Amino acid sequence: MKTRYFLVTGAVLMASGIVLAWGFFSLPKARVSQLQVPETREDLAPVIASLTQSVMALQKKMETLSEKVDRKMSRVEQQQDAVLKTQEVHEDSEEISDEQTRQQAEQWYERQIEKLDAVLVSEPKDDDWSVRTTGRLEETFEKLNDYEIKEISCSGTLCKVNARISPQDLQREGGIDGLVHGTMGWEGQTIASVDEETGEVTVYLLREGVDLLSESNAGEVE
Amino acid sequence: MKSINLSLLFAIFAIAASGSPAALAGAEKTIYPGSMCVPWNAGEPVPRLNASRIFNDNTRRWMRVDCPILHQDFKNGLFKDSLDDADIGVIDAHSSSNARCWLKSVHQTGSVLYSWSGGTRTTAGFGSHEQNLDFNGVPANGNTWYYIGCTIPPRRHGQSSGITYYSSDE
Repeated sequence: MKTRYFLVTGAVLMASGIVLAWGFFSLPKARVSQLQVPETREDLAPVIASLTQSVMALQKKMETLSEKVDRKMSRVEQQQDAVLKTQEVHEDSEEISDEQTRQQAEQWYERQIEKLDAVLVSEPKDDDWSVRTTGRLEETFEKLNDYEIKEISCSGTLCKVNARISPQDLQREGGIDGLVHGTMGWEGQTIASVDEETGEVTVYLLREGVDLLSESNAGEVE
Repeated sequence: MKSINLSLLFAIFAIAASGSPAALAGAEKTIYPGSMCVPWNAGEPVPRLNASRIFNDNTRRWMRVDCPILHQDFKNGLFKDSLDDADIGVIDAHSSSNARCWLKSVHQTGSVLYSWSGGTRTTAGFGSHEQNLDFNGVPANGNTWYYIGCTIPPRRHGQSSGITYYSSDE
Protein backbone atom coordinates (compact mmCIF):
# COMPACT_ATOMS: atom_id res chain seq x y z
CA MET A 1 0.00 0.00 0.00
CA LYS A 2 2.81 2.37 0.99
CA THR A 3 4.84 1.48 -2.12
CA ARG A 4 1.88 2.33 -4.41
CA TYR A 5 1.46 5.68 -2.63
CA PHE A 6 5.10 6.63 -3.18
CA LEU A 7 4.94 5.55 -6.85
CA VAL A 8 1.84 7.71 -7.53
CA THR A 9 3.33 10.73 -5.69
CA GLY A 10 6.57 10.38 -7.68
CA ALA A 11 4.68 10.20 -11.00
CA VAL A 12 2.70 13.35 -10.12
CA LEU A 13 5.85 15.25 -9.15
CA MET A 14 7.60 14.24 -12.38
CA ALA A 15 4.63 15.33 -14.51
CA SER A 16 4.55 18.72 -12.72
CA GLY A 17 8.27 19.20 -13.35
CA ILE A 18 7.86 18.48 -17.08
CA VAL A 19 4.97 20.97 -17.38
CA LEU A 20 6.88 23.71 -15.57
CA ALA A 21 10.00 23.16 -17.70
CA TRP A 22 7.97 23.35 -20.94
CA GLY A 23 6.32 26.55 -19.77
CA PHE A 24 9.63 28.18 -18.86
CA PHE A 25 11.33 27.44 -22.22
CA SER A 26 8.48 27.77 -24.75
CA LEU A 27 6.15 30.64 -23.60
CA PRO A 28 8.56 33.63 -23.61
CA LYS A 29 9.66 32.73 -27.16
CA ALA A 30 6.12 32.63 -28.42
CA ARG A 31 5.34 36.06 -26.87
CA VAL A 32 8.35 37.65 -28.52
CA SER A 33 7.52 36.13 -31.90
CA GLN A 34 3.95 37.51 -31.71
CA LEU A 35 5.01 41.09 -30.91
CA GLN A 36 7.59 41.45 -33.67
CA VAL A 37 8.88 44.81 -32.39
CA PRO A 38 10.29 46.93 -35.25
CA GLU A 39 13.86 47.85 -34.88
CA THR A 40 14.17 51.02 -37.13
CA ARG A 41 12.19 54.27 -37.79
CA GLU A 42 11.44 53.15 -41.35
CA ASP A 43 9.78 50.06 -39.99
CA LEU A 44 7.47 52.25 -37.81
CA ALA A 45 6.15 54.32 -40.78
CA PRO A 46 3.50 51.81 -42.00
CA VAL A 47 2.33 51.24 -38.41
CA ILE A 48 1.94 55.00 -37.88
CA ALA A 49 0.11 55.35 -41.23
CA SER A 50 -2.24 52.53 -40.32
CA LEU A 51 -2.92 54.03 -36.88
CA THR A 52 -3.59 57.48 -38.44
CA GLN A 53 -6.10 55.91 -40.84
CA SER A 54 -7.81 54.17 -37.93
CA VAL A 55 -8.01 57.42 -35.96
CA MET A 56 -9.48 59.25 -38.98
CA ALA A 57 -12.03 56.49 -39.50
CA LEU A 58 -13.00 56.69 -35.84
CA GLN A 59 -13.37 60.49 -36.08
CA LYS A 60 -15.68 60.08 -39.08
CA LYS A 61 -17.74 57.51 -37.23
CA MET A 62 -18.02 59.82 -34.24
CA GLU A 63 -19.16 62.70 -36.44
CA THR A 64 -21.79 60.49 -38.07
CA LEU A 65 -22.98 59.25 -34.68
CA SER A 66 -23.16 62.76 -33.24
CA GLU A 67 -25.22 63.89 -36.28
CA LYS A 68 -27.54 60.94 -35.74
CA VAL A 69 -27.91 61.79 -32.04
CA ASP A 70 -28.65 65.44 -32.89
CA ARG A 71 -31.29 64.40 -35.40
CA LYS A 72 -32.89 62.02 -32.88
CA MET A 73 -32.85 64.64 -30.12
CA SER A 74 -34.56 67.22 -32.34
CA ARG A 75 -37.18 64.60 -33.31
CA VAL A 76 -37.83 63.79 -29.62
CA GLU A 77 -38.14 67.51 -28.81
CA GLN A 78 -40.66 67.91 -31.66
CA GLN A 79 -42.65 64.95 -30.35
CA GLN A 80 -42.62 66.40 -26.81
CA ASP A 81 -43.90 69.74 -28.15
CA ALA A 82 -46.66 67.93 -30.04
CA VAL A 83 -47.68 65.99 -26.91
CA LEU A 84 -47.76 69.18 -24.82
CA LYS A 85 -49.88 70.94 -27.47
CA THR A 86 -52.29 67.98 -27.61
CA GLN A 87 -52.61 68.02 -23.81
CA GLU A 88 -53.38 71.74 -23.84
CA VAL A 89 -56.02 71.28 -26.55
CA HIS A 90 -57.50 68.36 -24.60
CA GLU A 91 -57.69 70.40 -21.39
CA ASP A 92 -59.37 73.26 -23.29
CA SER A 93 -61.89 70.88 -24.83
CA GLU A 94 -62.62 69.40 -21.36
CA GLU A 95 -63.34 72.88 -20.02
CA ILE A 96 -65.70 73.53 -22.91
CA SER A 97 -67.29 70.14 -22.38
CA ASP A 98 -67.89 70.85 -18.66
CA GLU A 99 -69.52 74.17 -19.46
CA GLN A 100 -71.60 72.55 -22.18
CA THR A 101 -72.61 69.79 -19.79
CA ARG A 102 -73.74 72.37 -17.22
CA GLN A 103 -75.81 74.21 -19.84
CA GLN A 104 -77.25 70.95 -21.17
CA ALA A 105 -78.18 69.90 -17.62
CA GLU A 106 -80.10 73.12 -17.11
CA GLN A 107 -81.79 72.75 -20.51
CA TRP A 108 -82.66 69.13 -19.67
CA TYR A 109 -84.21 70.21 -16.38
CA GLU A 110 -86.20 72.97 -18.12
CA ARG A 111 -87.44 70.49 -20.76
CA GLN A 112 -88.58 68.07 -18.04
CA ILE A 113 -90.45 70.84 -16.26
CA GLU A 114 -92.14 71.92 -19.51
CA LYS A 115 -93.20 68.33 -20.21
CA LEU A 116 -94.49 67.78 -16.69
CA ASP A 117 -96.40 71.09 -16.82
CA ALA A 118 -97.91 70.02 -20.17
CA VAL A 119 -98.96 66.64 -18.67
CA LEU A 120 -100.46 68.44 -15.68
CA VAL A 121 -102.69 70.52 -17.94
CA SER A 122 -103.59 67.99 -20.63
CA GLU A 123 -104.01 64.76 -18.65
CA PRO A 124 -107.42 63.70 -17.30
CA LYS A 125 -107.73 64.09 -13.52
CA ASP A 126 -108.09 61.30 -11.00
CA ASP A 127 -110.13 63.06 -8.33
CA ASP A 128 -109.70 60.41 -5.62
CA TRP A 129 -105.94 60.27 -5.98
CA SER A 130 -105.79 64.05 -6.33
CA VAL A 131 -107.71 64.66 -3.09
CA ARG A 132 -105.71 62.06 -1.18
CA THR A 133 -102.36 63.43 -2.37
CA THR A 134 -103.33 67.05 -1.71
CA GLY A 135 -104.38 66.00 1.81
CA ARG A 136 -101.04 64.24 2.42
CA LEU A 137 -99.14 67.28 1.17
CA GLU A 138 -101.08 69.71 3.36
CA GLU A 139 -100.64 67.45 6.38
CA THR A 140 -96.89 67.35 5.77
CA PHE A 141 -96.60 71.10 5.37
CA GLU A 142 -98.58 71.62 8.58
CA LYS A 143 -95.63 70.15 10.48
CA LEU A 144 -93.54 73.17 9.41
CA ASN A 145 -93.45 76.42 11.36
CA ASP A 146 -93.08 79.00 8.59
CA TYR A 147 -94.33 78.26 5.07
CA GLU A 148 -96.71 79.44 2.38
CA ILE A 149 -98.27 77.10 -0.17
CA LYS A 150 -98.74 79.04 -3.42
CA GLU A 151 -99.98 76.21 -5.61
CA ILE A 152 -100.93 72.55 -5.41
CA SER A 153 -102.22 71.14 -8.68
CA CYS A 154 -102.69 67.49 -9.57
CA SER A 155 -103.56 65.44 -12.64
CA GLY A 156 -104.05 61.68 -12.79
CA THR A 157 -100.35 60.85 -12.49
CA LEU A 158 -98.60 63.79 -10.88
CA CYS A 159 -98.89 66.71 -8.52
CA LYS A 160 -97.03 69.99 -8.52
CA VAL A 161 -96.35 71.99 -5.39
CA ASN A 162 -95.07 75.53 -5.41
CA ALA A 163 -94.36 76.99 -1.99
CA ARG A 164 -92.12 79.15 0.13
CA ILE A 165 -90.49 77.44 3.09
CA SER A 166 -88.36 79.23 5.70
CA PRO A 167 -84.65 78.37 5.78
CA GLN A 168 -85.03 77.13 9.39
CA ASP A 169 -87.73 74.65 8.40
CA LEU A 170 -85.75 73.49 5.38
CA GLN A 171 -82.71 73.05 7.61
CA ARG A 172 -84.65 71.04 10.17
CA GLU A 173 -86.13 68.76 7.50
CA GLY A 174 -82.81 68.21 5.75
CA GLY A 175 -83.96 70.08 2.64
CA ILE A 176 -87.00 69.50 0.47
CA ASP A 177 -85.98 65.87 -0.05
CA GLY A 178 -86.05 65.20 3.68
CA LEU A 179 -89.54 66.70 3.81
CA VAL A 180 -90.96 64.86 0.79
CA HIS A 181 -89.26 61.49 1.35
CA GLY A 182 -88.30 61.37 5.03
CA THR A 183 -91.34 63.04 6.59
CA MET A 184 -93.99 62.40 3.94
CA GLY A 185 -92.53 59.13 2.58
CA TRP A 186 -93.53 59.80 -1.04
CA GLU A 187 -93.23 56.51 -2.91
CA GLY A 188 -92.98 57.79 -6.48
CA GLN A 189 -90.37 59.74 -8.41
CA THR A 190 -89.76 63.38 -7.54
CA ILE A 191 -88.03 66.24 -9.24
CA ALA A 192 -87.45 69.32 -7.12
CA SER A 193 -85.78 72.71 -7.13
CA VAL A 194 -85.11 74.97 -4.15
CA ASP A 195 -83.91 78.53 -4.40
CA GLU A 196 -82.06 78.88 -1.12
CA GLU A 197 -82.02 82.69 -1.34
CA THR A 198 -85.79 83.10 -1.56
CA GLY A 199 -86.93 79.80 -0.04
CA GLU A 200 -89.04 79.14 -3.13
CA VAL A 201 -89.63 75.44 -3.63
CA THR A 202 -91.09 73.63 -6.64
CA VAL A 203 -91.67 69.90 -6.43
CA TYR A 204 -93.24 67.52 -8.93
CA LEU A 205 -94.44 64.31 -7.30
CA LEU A 206 -95.13 61.45 -9.70
CA ARG A 207 -97.60 58.75 -8.83
CA GLU A 208 -96.03 55.46 -7.69
CA GLY A 209 -95.10 53.33 -10.71
CA VAL A 210 -95.25 56.26 -13.15
CA ASP A 211 -91.98 56.96 -14.94
CA LEU A 212 -92.65 60.06 -17.03
CA LEU A 213 -89.08 61.27 -16.83
CA SER A 214 -87.42 58.14 -18.20
CA GLU A 215 -90.07 57.59 -20.88
CA SER A 216 -89.62 61.08 -22.22
CA ASN A 217 -85.87 60.54 -22.45
CA ALA A 218 -85.62 57.06 -23.88
CA GLY A 219 -82.00 56.33 -24.58
CA GLU A 220 -80.73 59.15 -22.42
CA VAL A 221 -81.59 58.05 -18.94
CA GLU A 222 -80.06 54.69 -18.18
CA MET B 1 -45.78 17.07 -19.19
CA LYS B 2 -49.17 16.52 -17.63
CA SER B 3 -48.50 19.19 -14.99
CA ILE B 4 -47.44 21.71 -17.66
CA ASN B 5 -50.67 21.09 -19.59
CA LEU B 6 -52.72 21.57 -16.43
CA SER B 7 -50.90 24.83 -15.60
CA LEU B 8 -51.49 26.08 -19.15
CA LEU B 9 -55.20 25.26 -18.94
CA PHE B 10 -55.44 26.99 -15.55
CA ALA B 11 -53.66 30.09 -16.92
CA ILE B 12 -56.01 30.27 -19.93
CA PHE B 13 -59.01 29.87 -17.64
CA ALA B 14 -57.74 32.61 -15.27
CA ILE B 15 -57.15 35.05 -18.15
CA ALA B 16 -60.59 34.33 -19.62
CA ALA B 17 -62.27 34.73 -16.23
CA SER B 18 -60.55 38.05 -15.49
CA GLY B 19 -61.80 39.52 -18.79
CA SER B 20 -65.32 38.12 -18.54
CA PRO B 21 -68.32 40.49 -18.37
CA ALA B 22 -69.10 39.24 -14.86
CA ALA B 23 -65.68 40.26 -13.58
CA LEU B 24 -65.90 43.62 -15.35
CA ALA B 25 -69.42 44.29 -14.04
CA GLY B 26 -68.30 43.49 -10.51
CA ALA B 27 -65.60 46.15 -10.73
CA GLU B 28 -68.25 48.91 -11.06
CA LYS B 29 -70.03 48.04 -7.82
CA THR B 30 -69.00 49.74 -4.59
CA ILE B 31 -70.09 48.62 -1.12
CA TYR B 32 -69.91 51.04 1.80
CA PRO B 33 -70.21 50.14 5.50
CA GLY B 34 -73.21 51.64 7.32
CA SER B 35 -70.83 53.68 9.49
CA MET B 36 -70.17 55.90 6.46
CA CYS B 37 -73.70 57.28 6.78
CA VAL B 38 -73.69 60.71 8.42
CA PRO B 39 -76.33 61.44 11.09
CA TRP B 40 -77.33 65.08 10.78
CA ASN B 41 -79.84 65.59 13.59
CA ALA B 42 -78.51 68.26 15.93
CA GLY B 43 -77.33 66.57 19.16
CA GLU B 44 -79.60 63.58 19.79
CA PRO B 45 -79.80 60.81 18.84
CA VAL B 46 -76.17 59.85 19.20
CA PRO B 47 -75.48 56.94 16.84
CA ARG B 48 -73.92 53.68 18.00
CA LEU B 49 -71.49 51.82 15.76
CA ASN B 50 -71.15 48.05 15.82
CA ALA B 51 -69.05 46.16 13.27
CA SER B 52 -69.15 49.35 11.19
CA ARG B 53 -72.96 49.28 11.18
CA ILE B 54 -74.81 52.35 12.50
CA PHE B 55 -77.68 52.07 15.01
CA ASN B 56 -80.18 54.39 16.67
CA ASP B 57 -80.26 53.62 20.40
CA ASN B 58 -82.53 56.55 21.27
CA THR B 59 -85.90 55.40 22.59
CA ARG B 60 -87.83 58.51 21.49
CA ARG B 61 -86.15 60.20 18.56
CA TRP B 62 -85.73 59.12 14.97
CA MET B 63 -82.24 59.20 13.52
CA ARG B 64 -81.83 60.86 10.12
CA VAL B 65 -78.77 60.04 8.05
CA ASP B 66 -77.29 60.86 4.66
CA CYS B 67 -75.20 58.05 3.17
CA PRO B 68 -72.86 59.56 0.54
CA ILE B 69 -72.16 57.71 -2.71
CA LEU B 70 -69.03 58.51 -4.71
CA HIS B 71 -69.66 59.73 -8.26
CA GLN B 72 -66.64 58.34 -10.07
CA ASP B 73 -67.78 57.25 -13.50
CA PHE B 74 -68.02 60.16 -15.93
CA LYS B 75 -69.22 59.03 -19.33
CA ASN B 76 -68.96 62.48 -20.88
CA GLY B 77 -72.54 62.78 -22.02
CA LEU B 78 -75.62 64.43 -20.66
CA PHE B 79 -77.57 62.05 -18.45
CA LYS B 80 -75.71 59.08 -19.92
CA ASP B 81 -73.62 59.72 -16.86
CA SER B 82 -75.88 58.13 -14.28
CA LEU B 83 -76.06 55.84 -11.29
CA ASP B 84 -77.38 52.53 -12.57
CA ASP B 85 -78.44 50.93 -9.34
CA ALA B 86 -78.14 51.23 -5.55
CA ASP B 87 -79.34 49.36 -2.50
CA ILE B 88 -79.16 49.57 1.28
CA GLY B 89 -79.31 47.06 4.11
CA VAL B 90 -81.56 48.12 7.00
CA ILE B 91 -82.39 46.46 10.32
CA ASP B 92 -85.86 47.61 11.34
CA ALA B 93 -86.52 46.53 14.91
CA HIS B 94 -89.49 48.85 15.49
CA SER B 95 -92.78 46.99 15.73
CA SER B 96 -95.08 49.81 14.58
CA SER B 97 -92.95 52.21 12.47
CA ASN B 98 -90.86 51.57 9.39
CA ALA B 99 -87.49 52.89 8.24
CA ARG B 100 -87.55 54.98 5.08
CA CYS B 101 -84.77 55.50 2.53
CA TRP B 102 -84.50 57.37 -0.75
CA LEU B 103 -81.77 57.69 -3.38
CA LYS B 104 -81.02 61.23 -4.55
CA SER B 105 -79.13 62.77 -7.43
CA VAL B 106 -78.38 66.44 -6.73
CA HIS B 107 -76.63 69.36 -8.39
CA GLN B 108 -76.52 73.07 -7.67
CA THR B 109 -76.52 76.04 -10.04
CA GLY B 110 -76.13 79.38 -8.31
CA SER B 111 -78.44 79.42 -5.31
CA VAL B 112 -80.77 76.82 -6.78
CA LEU B 113 -80.50 73.19 -5.74
CA TYR B 114 -81.91 70.66 -8.21
CA SER B 115 -82.67 67.12 -7.10
CA TRP B 116 -84.11 63.97 -8.56
CA SER B 117 -85.30 60.81 -6.86
CA GLY B 118 -86.80 57.48 -7.86
CA GLY B 119 -88.99 57.45 -4.74
CA THR B 120 -88.99 56.38 -1.09
CA ARG B 121 -88.42 52.73 -0.12
CA THR B 122 -89.86 51.49 3.17
CA THR B 123 -89.02 48.45 5.31
CA ALA B 124 -91.71 45.83 5.87
CA GLY B 125 -92.29 44.18 9.23
CA PHE B 126 -89.70 44.19 12.00
CA GLY B 127 -87.00 42.06 13.56
CA SER B 128 -83.24 41.82 13.97
CA HIS B 129 -82.77 40.62 10.38
CA GLU B 130 -81.40 42.76 7.55
CA GLN B 131 -83.84 44.04 4.92
CA ASN B 132 -82.55 45.10 1.51
CA LEU B 133 -84.11 48.18 -0.06
CA ASP B 134 -83.36 48.44 -3.77
CA PHE B 135 -83.35 51.64 -5.82
CA ASN B 136 -83.62 52.17 -9.55
CA GLY B 137 -80.99 54.29 -11.28
CA VAL B 138 -80.99 58.07 -11.21
CA PRO B 139 -79.87 60.49 -13.95
CA ALA B 140 -76.85 62.69 -13.47
CA ASN B 141 -74.55 65.19 -15.11
CA GLY B 142 -70.88 66.02 -14.61
CA ASN B 143 -71.66 68.10 -11.51
CA THR B 144 -74.02 65.71 -9.77
CA TRP B 145 -73.49 64.10 -6.38
CA TYR B 146 -75.45 61.17 -5.00
CA TYR B 147 -76.63 60.07 -1.58
CA ILE B 148 -79.12 57.77 0.10
CA GLY B 149 -81.16 59.53 2.79
CA CYS B 150 -82.76 57.46 5.56
CA THR B 151 -84.92 57.89 8.63
CA ILE B 152 -84.29 55.21 11.26
CA PRO B 153 -86.96 54.58 13.93
CA PRO B 154 -86.23 54.75 17.68
CA ARG B 155 -85.21 51.77 19.83
CA ARG B 156 -88.15 49.60 20.77
CA HIS B 157 -88.40 46.62 23.18
CA GLY B 158 -84.63 46.72 23.74
CA GLN B 159 -83.90 46.34 20.03
CA SER B 160 -82.22 49.04 17.93
CA SER B 161 -82.76 49.76 14.24
CA GLY B 162 -79.88 50.70 11.95
CA ILE B 163 -78.04 50.46 8.65
CA THR B 164 -75.67 47.62 7.90
CA TYR B 165 -74.28 48.64 4.47
CA TYR B 166 -75.20 50.39 1.27
CA SER B 167 -73.98 49.92 -2.27
CA SER B 168 -73.91 51.64 -5.63
CA ASP B 169 -73.37 50.47 -9.19
CA GLU B 170 -72.29 53.05 -11.76
